[in-house]
Amino acid sequence: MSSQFGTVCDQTDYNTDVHSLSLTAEFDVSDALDLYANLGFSDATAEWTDLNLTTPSYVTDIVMQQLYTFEGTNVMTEYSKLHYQQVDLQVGGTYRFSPALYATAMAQYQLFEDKDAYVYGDLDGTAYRGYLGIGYNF
Amino acid sequence: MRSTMRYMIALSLAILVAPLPLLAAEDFSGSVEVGAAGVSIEDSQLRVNEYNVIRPDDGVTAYGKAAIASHSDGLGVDLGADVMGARDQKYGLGLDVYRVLKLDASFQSFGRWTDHDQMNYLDAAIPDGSLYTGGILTPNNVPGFVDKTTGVGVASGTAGSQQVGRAGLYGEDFMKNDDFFITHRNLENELSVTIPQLPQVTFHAGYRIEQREGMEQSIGMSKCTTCHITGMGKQIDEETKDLSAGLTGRFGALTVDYEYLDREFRENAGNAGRVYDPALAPSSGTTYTPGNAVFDNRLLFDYEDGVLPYDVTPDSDKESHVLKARIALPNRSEVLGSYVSAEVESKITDEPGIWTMAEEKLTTSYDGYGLKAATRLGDRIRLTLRGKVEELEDSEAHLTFFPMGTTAQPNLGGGTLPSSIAATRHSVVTRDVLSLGADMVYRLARKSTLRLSYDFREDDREDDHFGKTETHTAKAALKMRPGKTLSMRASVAYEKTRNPLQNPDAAGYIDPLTGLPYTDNPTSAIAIGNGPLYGTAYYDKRQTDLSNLPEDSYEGKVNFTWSPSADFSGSFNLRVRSEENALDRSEWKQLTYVPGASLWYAASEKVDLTFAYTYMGQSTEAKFCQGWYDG
Repeated sequence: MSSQFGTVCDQTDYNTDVHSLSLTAEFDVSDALDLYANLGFSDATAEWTDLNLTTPSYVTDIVMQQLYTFEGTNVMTEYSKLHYQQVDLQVGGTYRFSPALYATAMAQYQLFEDKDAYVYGDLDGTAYRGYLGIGYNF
Repeated sequence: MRSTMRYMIALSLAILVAPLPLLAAEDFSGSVEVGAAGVSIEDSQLRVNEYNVIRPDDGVTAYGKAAIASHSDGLGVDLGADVMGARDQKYGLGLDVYRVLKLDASFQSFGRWTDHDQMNYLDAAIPDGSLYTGGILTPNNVPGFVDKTTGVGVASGTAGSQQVGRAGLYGEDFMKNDDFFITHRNLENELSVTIPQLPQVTFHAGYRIEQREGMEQSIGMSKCTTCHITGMGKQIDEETKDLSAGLTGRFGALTVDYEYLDREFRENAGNAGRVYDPALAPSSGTTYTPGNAVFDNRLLFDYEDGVLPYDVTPDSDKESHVLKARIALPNRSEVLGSYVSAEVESKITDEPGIWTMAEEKLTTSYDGYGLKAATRLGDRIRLTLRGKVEELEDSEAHLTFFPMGTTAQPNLGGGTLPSSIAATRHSVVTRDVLSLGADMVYRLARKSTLRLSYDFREDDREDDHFGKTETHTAKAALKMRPGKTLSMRASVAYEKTRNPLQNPDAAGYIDPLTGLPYTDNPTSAIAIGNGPLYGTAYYDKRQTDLSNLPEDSYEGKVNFTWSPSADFSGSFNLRVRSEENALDRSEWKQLTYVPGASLWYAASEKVDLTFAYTYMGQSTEAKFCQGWYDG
């Protein structure tokens, strides 16, 4: 029986940083026209660092020495590296033809940037949305 | 079940139409809006359109909104509709009939794209020995055997050589180009009735149906030959039904509230199924035949069992009773009592011939008894005492496993593997919980208070492996207004936990003879072939406890709000939390800090500006252990 086994451990760090910013503006241009704008931005990163396993000196098993390296395990921290950025810009308004009749419109630009793709693949995406409507109050 | 939802929608629409005569009422208002909405997506829609704001994919759709409010002579009705195409819709109804009958009904449906694991990062293998080209051994050039002294590859096993273990990991996505989408529907109805002849009692009833329908990714794995991980699709057709009934009674100083809930969860789509890979040696020289059963004794099922269910979501039922009572006493004092009883049954279907379970269903029960008393001491102090006793009980599962090829090899301590193996699975849920707490609020000045509190909690688990957890929490909070334009809140808290929930002996092999983190002379006599059995020789000898729950926690919070003028205000807040544990052979630390600021400025009577910023930083330090094994 020549099997040799054991455990190698290391103290590692995991850091998360999230910045969220929002700006909103509302503008009553006139009695008939209201405008608004919203801007949101966020940046989120997560990182696993300081995993540094090394082959212990007491490993003498020839198969362990030649076929396995703990150094190869250390690169798994790359899989936990995440970086997302999101932008959300929305502008819209309402125009009142009369106290009862109005028109409303909105346009939106949304961006998601996946700077370090994870298991779900590259999630980069951009969305353009908008609506135009007419309404009546009674 | 779909017909049940249709029936309920039709019933809801009937209820919506019923109060139409109220449209003739004098106090009548409303609005209607129609238009077109569109969306265009570039690249992935999984994040920017995960919850479909307008529609699930590119295109233009008609939309409409309507709201009607009518109140007349004690009758009131509020109707609302928000329709964004055929899938994303909201309807609401509020009805008040002379304050005798009140109804709140709503229906909402929306779609959601769900994640799709690419599974393209899972491939790794030690190649077959027959592919060995000689020369230097590398992870990609491996002989079937190596000389234990020289490390030179040899073609076949000899007295001085060692066989190289084979391993493989292969991820395969069978639905690579498919997207997964779930449609959610939720119908809620809340009815309350107060009979004029019995005005102190209000009766309540509720009915809710929630549905999830569509397809999600389902990941399964065959073990032996290789770890073959496959991704497929699983039909989802889930329905949750809630039926509730209760009453609220006010009898002088006594208020009593009771509610009964009956919940039913069903997965109507049927189980996903898969055929598992044959249990063979991971070698290109090993071909499958029904009689080739080298590794059968290590598994319960494989290719020969045909299609087997996997990724099963069990049906479940829940019943709960909630009883609360409050007695108002002189001197702004009160006593509150509560009793909660709940039981959840989960229906598991076993696989006769592979595994069976003695219980037809698994049951989790909860009983909680709470008592709280509050009173005023003098003009400045308010004191609150509270306590709660909770009992959680979870079924034990008595399982019987039927391994394949049960007489194939004598691999468990030298005996012949029995035709079946019985095992009892204990639940960590079963426990008694005691919570005690006290609050004292001292009024320092007008709009300024100091709050001091202490809480104790004990989780006494039935499973001795996880034991008893004790938590003591002390907190001080100050709220004050130093000036007319400035207000502030600040608090500090300390929490001490003895034996937080952890995974004992989760990692870190220690040789029982030498105390070293490795061995080259396995002490276990239990072996497969000439190598030690991994479970008893390695896993059972681990001694490092691991947990990401703290023994010591410190938290501080502060918030300032400054309003120097009628057109400007700003606020700043900060939360800092430090947590750590030091268990047997492991340490864990986490520091979280969340500062934030917001500003509001009215530049003129017609322009409002708002700015907000929040940062969340968290650093965690934890022990990582990697087992290594040759055999």
